Amino acid sequence: MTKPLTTPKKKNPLVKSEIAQVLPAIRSRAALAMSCHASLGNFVLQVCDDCHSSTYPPRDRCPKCWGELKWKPQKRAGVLLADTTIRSTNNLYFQQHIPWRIGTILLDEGPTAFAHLHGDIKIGDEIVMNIMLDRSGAPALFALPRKASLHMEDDYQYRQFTASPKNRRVLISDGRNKIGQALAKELINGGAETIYLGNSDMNLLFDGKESLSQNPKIKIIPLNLLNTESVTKTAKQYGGKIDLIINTAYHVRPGSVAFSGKITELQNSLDINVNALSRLAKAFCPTLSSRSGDKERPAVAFVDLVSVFSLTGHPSYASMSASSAARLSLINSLRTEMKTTGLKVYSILFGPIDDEWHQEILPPKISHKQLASTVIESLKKGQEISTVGNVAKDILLRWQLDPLLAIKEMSP
Amino acid sequence: MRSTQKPYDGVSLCAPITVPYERFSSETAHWWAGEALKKLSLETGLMPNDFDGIIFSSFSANPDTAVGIVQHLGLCPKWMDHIPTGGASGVMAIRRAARAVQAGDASIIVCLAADTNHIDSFQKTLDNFSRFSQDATYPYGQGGPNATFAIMTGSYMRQFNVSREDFGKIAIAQRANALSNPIALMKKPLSIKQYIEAKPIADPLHLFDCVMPCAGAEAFVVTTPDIAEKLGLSTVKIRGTIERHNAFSEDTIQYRGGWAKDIDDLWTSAKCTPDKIDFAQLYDDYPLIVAMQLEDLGFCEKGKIKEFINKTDFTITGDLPLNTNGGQLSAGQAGAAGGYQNVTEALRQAIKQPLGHQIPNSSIGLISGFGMVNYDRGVCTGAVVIEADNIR
Repeated sequence: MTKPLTTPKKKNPLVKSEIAQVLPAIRSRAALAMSCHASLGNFVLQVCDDCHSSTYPPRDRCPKCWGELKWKPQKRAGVLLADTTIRSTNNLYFQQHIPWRIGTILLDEGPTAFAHLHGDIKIGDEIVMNIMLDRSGAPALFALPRKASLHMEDDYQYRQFTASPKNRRVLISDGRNKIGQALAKELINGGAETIYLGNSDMNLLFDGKESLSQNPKIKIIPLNLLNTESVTKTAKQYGGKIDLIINTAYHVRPGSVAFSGKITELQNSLDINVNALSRLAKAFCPTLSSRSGDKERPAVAFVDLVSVFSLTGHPSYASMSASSAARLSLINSLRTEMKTTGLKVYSILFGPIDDEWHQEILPPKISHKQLASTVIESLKKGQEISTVGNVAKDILLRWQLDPLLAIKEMSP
Repeated sequence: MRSTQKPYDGVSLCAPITVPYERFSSETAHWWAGEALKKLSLETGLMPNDFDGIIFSSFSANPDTAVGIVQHLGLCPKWMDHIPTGGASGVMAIRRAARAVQAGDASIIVCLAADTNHIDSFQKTLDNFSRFSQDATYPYGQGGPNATFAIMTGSYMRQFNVSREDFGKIAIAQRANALSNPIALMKKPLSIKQYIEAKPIADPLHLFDCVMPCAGAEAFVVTTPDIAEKLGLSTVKIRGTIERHNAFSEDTIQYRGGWAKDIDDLWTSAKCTPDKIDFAQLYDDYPLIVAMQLEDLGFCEKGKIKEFINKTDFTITGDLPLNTNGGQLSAGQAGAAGGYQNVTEALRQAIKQPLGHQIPNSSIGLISGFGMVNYDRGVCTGAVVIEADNIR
């Protein structure tokens, strides 16, 4: 059974942090395609169009009949046949993490595969297979026990592939809005150690401030995302003790391109949805990257919450959609940029929220709590891209199948 | 669609050359290849224009292949081959060169393997070894084939009730053999206690289960008996050969190699049986692989290896002298040259010009190769039965 995590020790400031190492990132194009499915939490294998057999490692043609291969969702079931604990390796990443245990899994679908092993699995045990993304964003098979145990997520090897909030110190960039506040509560329930809640103006009251400031785990700190100086100052002061950043900044006003909506709203929207992200990343990511290899308290992830209309646009929320599209693009670039640093970048694509700003949109809508819970779940599973609510799920699916058609299908 | 192997009449193997290995070298694979040819030239009197065929094997000559080496070292062959199969390349070189000589496509072929070992070249070889290992092995903690073989070894030990002590006996016998070889990298005797208590690498493998990467080069000549006689070279005959790739891909974890598929063909074409073999040079990247070959090549039944290891003396004066130069486990693994050192040592024992001690009876020998752990198993296998011919 996995032992529950204990509180990490205070860092001795005289001890040099370990340099962040990442796994070798050279992969075939087929493996890269596998990582796209992994980023959405799916378990896929290549299946032959002609003979329907599944294959692994990633190939470009079927080894049984040379038919074309397609990635398809497959049963996650398998059994551990053999294992080894690696105690010596030339690889710098694994040198930081040995002893490290891997094994050969016989998948129910037929192929065998090397996989990283959860500590609770013994030879002969049935397992559940997952495709995780390693610190460089490459796909990595990880076998979890068939039966979940109480502290399963605390497993050392598993934690290298997730960003579970347990014991982490988290910055929520905008704590004044309801998303940020719901998130603070969920993170504390998820075991976070400290929540730094960004407040753009310490002198202005906001709803919910009172109950938040009573919680000893929540610290409200000055952070004005519209002001570069403020972001830089806060990063200098707090960057060294933050393991996880969640960008909750969100500007939404109804309005179309031509008939309604003002250009100033578009400007405000760009400033909050796009520029704020850029300020945050510039101020915090270098510091966090340098600590991603720390053994006791690694910095793990940058999470961005973005409207699903970033994919397709929304005619009645044109400014918000446009700025969200720019925001998504920035996040995609940041994810690639962070590949070599070991810092993971998560995107949470959410549908219309059930609040005063989304009155124009028909249900189903999501609650702030639902959004917050999805963030926690994604971090726990190490899932890079998640959707919140049925609208977001539906739009992402349409967009994956045919982006142009998905855009055409958006109605006011 | 099974054909019978035609005999290797009119083919001679001769002039085994080993350039003494070095743990690390600042020279290149090209330099090591040239050093082997220089030694070969001094031994045989043959100059660049005398060779009309060449086979080349290397992991560290990138971006060059055989043709790059040909131009670099001033050869002008009318027949050329590049064999990039590591531990199986020596056996494959014999097979290809022999048929070329027999068919008259070439008459003096040099089979050459050379690899350097810079401080970082092992890492470079690993990084670029194969697509499957980049996608599905290397990112799983390994930094080399150790973990793959650890998984195979653990599984085999459970399946056939083999202990670390059993594998230790192979490593220790090879070390004893290495002690008479002045150019073996390992120079101290190895005890079972040292073997068992060595630094753990990947369970159940410890340090002395693993080869030491090094720089080195190996070469030999394949020609006709007439030419060999004119050159005054001692010769060795080929009695039979086999080769197989990607056999038993249905096995979930490798416990046998391609030899098991072709074993009857080998002994039929060689007109021989395992008990007639005077000595064996088996590819030995890990003791497990030696054990697998002993079974798959017919020295004992699959699953009976424990008893066989325990009743057999594998030292030079024993009942089955095995890897008499110390093998790669004790002499070092010089990249692709590791797939040729079993050939050169077998030739030397057969023509009675060993590096170390001579096997008392060394007429018929077995050479076996095993190469390319692309993903979760070794893919290439081959074996040759040889016999001493003219000793000059």
